[in-house]
Amino acid sequence: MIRLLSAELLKLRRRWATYIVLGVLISLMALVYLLVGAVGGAGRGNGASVLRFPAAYTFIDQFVFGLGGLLAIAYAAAVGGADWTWGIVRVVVARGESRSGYILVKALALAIVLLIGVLIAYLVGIALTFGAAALIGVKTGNPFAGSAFDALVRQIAYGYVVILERAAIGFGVAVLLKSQLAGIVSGIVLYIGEAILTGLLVVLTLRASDGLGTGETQWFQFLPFSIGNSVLSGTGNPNDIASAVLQPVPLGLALAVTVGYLVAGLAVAAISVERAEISS
Amino acid sequence: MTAGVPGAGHAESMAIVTRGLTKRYGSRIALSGLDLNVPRGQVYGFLGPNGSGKTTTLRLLVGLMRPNAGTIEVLGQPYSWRDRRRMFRIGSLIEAPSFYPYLSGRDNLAVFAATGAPTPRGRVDESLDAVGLTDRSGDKVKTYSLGMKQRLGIASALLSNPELLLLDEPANGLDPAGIVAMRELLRYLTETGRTVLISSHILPEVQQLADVIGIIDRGRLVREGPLDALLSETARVRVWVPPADVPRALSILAAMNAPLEPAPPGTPHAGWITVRVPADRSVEVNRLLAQNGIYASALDVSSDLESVFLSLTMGAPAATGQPLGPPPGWGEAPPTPTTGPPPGWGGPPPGTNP
Repeated sequence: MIRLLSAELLKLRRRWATYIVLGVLISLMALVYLLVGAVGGAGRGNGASVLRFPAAYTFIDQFVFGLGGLLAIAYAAAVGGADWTWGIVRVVVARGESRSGYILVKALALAIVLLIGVLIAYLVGIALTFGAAALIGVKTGNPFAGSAFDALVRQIAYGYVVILERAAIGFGVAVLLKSQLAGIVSGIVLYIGEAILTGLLVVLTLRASDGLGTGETQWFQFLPFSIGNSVLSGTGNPNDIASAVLQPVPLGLALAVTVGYLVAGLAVAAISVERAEISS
Repeated sequence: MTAGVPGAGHAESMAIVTRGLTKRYGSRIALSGLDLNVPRGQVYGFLGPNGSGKTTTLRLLVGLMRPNAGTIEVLGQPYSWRDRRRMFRIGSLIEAPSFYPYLSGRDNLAVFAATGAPTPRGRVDESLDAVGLTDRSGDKVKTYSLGMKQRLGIASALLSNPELLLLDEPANGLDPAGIVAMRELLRYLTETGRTVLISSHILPEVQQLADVIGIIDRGRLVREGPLDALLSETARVRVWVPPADVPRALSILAAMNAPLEPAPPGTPHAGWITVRVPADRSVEVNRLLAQNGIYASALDVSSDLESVFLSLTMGAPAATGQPLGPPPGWGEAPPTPTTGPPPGWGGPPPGTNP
């Protein structure tokens, strides 16, 4: 397994997509921080508040686990589908490798690379916070002091689980469809489609309850990407509309369901490749 | 699908034995009761028109697909879908060679070496050397020509030092020198006891390489046997004599005790007489006619695999003779290596050094 994992890591290390995805994330972060610095410096907003720790972590989360989640879907789909697109599954199976074992080790390598990517993005986010704060003369506070550090570790840990869940869904869809392009497109469509659907359902639910909400969690809060948002929301990231205006899903339950989706995504990938008739 | 092959008494001398192998894609039958006998230590030419079921057979042999019916034995072991380790003894190149385009040739082989059978360090370099790709092994595969990819595919098949090689159209994209080198490499492999199955439609190439031929058409094996026997079945000598002399020539050639087929009189081919004898009897045909005062103006010898193939797969009258039994020597041990490594591409294949 170690030699297979090393080979998978080599493939990801040599693949341009690995660096492009991280580059896109970091570039957009840098752009927004530059804007925050410019707006804050002009004294026309409260940009300074997102540059003070621990609140600054919430701002970084929006990128790393928000936009990063979408990129993780696309990247994982590219990784999962590439072996079909390039005919590698045929070669590997014909060499006697375990089908599901191969796919799961590939997923493990993906998880390792995603962890490294999350940590790099987070560090860059912290550095950008300092940069933007210096630009407008705001004191950031110590990012690793006491409660701030606890918040950091907690948010990265939970956020990483959410990233993994989203990646597992993209990965599972791509392996199921046996195509990286189909996997990327389907994964993104599912992500955006669910966001739109959930938004509509939140509005309808609020209308039906005269804007008060029902006091209960709603079924659509348990959809794959919404439940991940509930986890992020539970760790202090307010990017989940449903959790903000409806009864939020308890963090423990949200985390359990998210892990369930993660396992389901991997199971779909493993079972589909195990049963596949490989003709290409 | 785990039982052995019924009635395959000579299974130990066989690298592959299938019985009643059947595969359907939906309602379309790709293979229908295929009975294949691939002897150990020889080159088996697996021929058939496009869509005849060659690649489907290879896919079944390496576990890419499940058969709907039938049994398979590979290297004396019964087929089992779950027993992936049986593949450790098989190297294969099925359909087009597949690689990661962004990795170098060497990295691609290193990645493949991490799958399947444990592969010793150094095997990657040995495999690259065997196909003459050492110099370009550091270049990305996306910069390779079709022929180089093909050679890398063969190197990939050699990685696990396999006892059995399954090669689907291995000469695709190779230049003439590459084809010669591949031929020598494969011949060398069989001389060291390995078995090679080549699926191809390049008949002259197969004719030069194969010891045994299997011809498949519409999912059925229509003929199988030693190449020499197949060629002699359809061997013929054609002579042209003045049309007026045809009746007398026929009576003279009757002494050869071979089927005679004169072209119909009054047609553009009038004067041609086909004598169904091996090519080496063409001198006898010519001499017999000359001794009786008939001088052939043209003589054509034909005993090529193409004729056999076309007669069996194009709806032409089937060749004479009964289906062939196992070829001579099928029960014998593989031949001892008698030559050094092939001179073409580079060093010897991995694991074959004496």
